[in-house]
This record gives sequence, structure tokens and C-alpha cells, in this order.
Amino acid sequence: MHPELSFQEHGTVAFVADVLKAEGIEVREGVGRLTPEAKGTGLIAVVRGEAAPSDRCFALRADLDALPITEVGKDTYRSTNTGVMHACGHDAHTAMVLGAGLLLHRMRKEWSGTVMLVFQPGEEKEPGGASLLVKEGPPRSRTIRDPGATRHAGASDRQTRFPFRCFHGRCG
Amino acid sequence: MAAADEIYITVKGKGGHAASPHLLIDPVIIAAHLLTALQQVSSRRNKPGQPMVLSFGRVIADGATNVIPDSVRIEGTLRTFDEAWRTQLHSLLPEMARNLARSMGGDVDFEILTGSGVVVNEPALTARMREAAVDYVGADNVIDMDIRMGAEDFGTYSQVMPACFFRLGTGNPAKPGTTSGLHRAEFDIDEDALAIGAGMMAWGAVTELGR
Repeated sequence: MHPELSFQEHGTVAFVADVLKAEGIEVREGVGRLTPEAKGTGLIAVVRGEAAPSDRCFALRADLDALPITEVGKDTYRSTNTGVMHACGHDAHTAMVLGAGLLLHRMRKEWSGTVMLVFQPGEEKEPGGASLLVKEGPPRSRTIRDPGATRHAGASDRQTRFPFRCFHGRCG
Repeated sequence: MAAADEIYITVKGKGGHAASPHLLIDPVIIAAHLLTALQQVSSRRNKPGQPMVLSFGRVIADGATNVIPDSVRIEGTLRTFDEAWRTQLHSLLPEMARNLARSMGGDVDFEILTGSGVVVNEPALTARMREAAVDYVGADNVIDMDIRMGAEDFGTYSQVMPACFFRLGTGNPAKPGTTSGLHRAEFDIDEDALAIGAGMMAWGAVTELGR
């Protein structure tokens, strides 16, 4: 209903942050900076399972940006920002990852490990927000501990990691 | 989902009165040759069976009925699935364009903006996510999809970590207005899909992390 173009997702990411914070979920705001001075319009949140100790980590990713199209249609949630529209469903992606995060947080006593919720800016642009997030985090996967395993063959082990380890130092 | 690179070509000639082509280097005709010649790469240089698309959706020759412009702008997109072939194309395409343009007395500026990489669905993780999906929505509601030449920024993550990209069906013929294609002004979804998508992601995370 309030779509914003790539790397201008200020209101969208603020909404995501408010929902997560109200639930008591920890968030890191301002990620996905186009320039070192820019305020990033991405957000990474962390939900921790409490069933048993675990250092395993899993990420769910949503994209936040909309497209320069004027929306038609009658629905009550039609874009109020003329000329900008969620024509690629990123509002749905964001709602679903947000929903999954709330669900996991409320059920945290029933699972173990850490889930990262990645809300990236600028999926529709080059360079995309994903490359910015990967650059800001360690730029390589810490997937494999067993040096004998190849990345593909080894991925079924229990050491799959997400590379944004700098978040709180607890996830990888 | 494919790797996607943007291509920007400026065909350079020498404009002037359209009635005196012998005094000019006509970039419009060079551009016309280029557009067809570059498709030869898809059909003759690309290995048969290997997905590749080269499309030019923007061609601007801003002259007039009797004016040949100095240059023509051509913009398009290159979609590939193989990183080595992609890299090779980044020199093959400009080289071909340059040689062709020079053979007709013109020249080109050929710029390739490297975009997101191919989406790699890590096989073991994807197999486990498929099982989780069958658990969650039932075997009848899980299908294996063909490759698509569309691009996804998600490919960037899949280059540095094991990743799985799945699609969620959001169109419902029973609900008018929910079956339009993406990037269209009419696009809308059946909102019942939201709960399924959120639940599926939470379920996928829990199955992967363990209880």
C-alpha cells in the first residue's frame, strides 16, 4: 500500500523494524548501504530457538523494494504512492518473512538454533541489495568445517552457517 | 533463475543528410547488422542445449526522415546459466560488435554491467526443503520447476552459501485479478497464500535447525 523504490525503502523498513521490536526481536537496522555515508534501508533480525543449545543458523530472506509502475485495480491495499507499485510481490515476501519470524519467535521454546530474517533493499537494481549485504558481512561462506567435504556434498552436515556472523558473534 | 547482465552499446558513425549516404558513416544500418549478427552468438557459438538469451529492448536512432544521426544507442540484457560461458561472452560480444562496426567504417562503445549471478539451488539442502514442503502442503502441491531465464538478486547469496530458492503460487483462477503476470499494473495475489508462505518458511527453518 505504501511501496517505495529501490534503496528508498525508508518507511517500509521502519514498519518492519517496529513490528519486530514490538515483539521483542533483536534487529540491526541500516544495513545495505549504497555508499559508506548512506543510511542502509535493509534490516537483519535474529530469532533464537530455546529448546536446546545449538550453534546452527538458518536465514530467511525478503526483499523490500517496489517498481516504477502505476497500479490499477480496486483492492483496498492498492498503492497510495502514485507511480510506484509492488508489481513483483515484494510486499508479500516481506509480510511472509515477517510472519515467519513472529511465528518462530512465539514458538522459540520448541526449536533450537538461530534464524536470521534478512530484509534486503534494492532487489530490482544493479548492484542489488544482496551484494551489499554480503559485502558488509564476511564475504565468504563458513559452511564447512570438515576439510575433506566439498561444499555441495558437505552441506547436509550440521554445520551450515550464514555468513553474517558479525551480528552478535553468536551465530557462527 | 539465470545470471543477468545489462548491455549498453553506442554505435558510432558520422551523421548528415540522408540523401548523401556516401558522405556519411550510417550508424543506423550498422546497428541493424549488429542486432542480427549478435544473435548468431546464441545460435552458432553457444553450445546447443545450454540456456542463453540475448535480447535488446531499447534501440534509439534519433534522426529524422532525412537526417542520419551520428550514433545509435542499443540496450539489452544477457541471460546465462554457466559462469565460464558468461565470462567468455563478456569478451566475445564486444569483440564481434567492434569488428563488425569497424568493417563498415564505424565503431562501438560496448559496455556490460555485470548483474546478479545465477541462482544455485544447493542439491542436498533443496532436497530437504522439498521434503519439508511435502510435509507442510502435501505432495500434490509441490512441483519441480523448469529453469527460468529471469534473474534474482538471491543468486548472490547462493554464490557464497548453500541456498534454496522456492516459488510460492499466489494466483488463483477462482479469485479474479490474481492471475496477472509480474511487473504489470494489474498484478495482485490471492492473500491466502501469505499464511502458507510464512508457515512454510518457518517450518523449513525448524526442520533444518532441529527441535
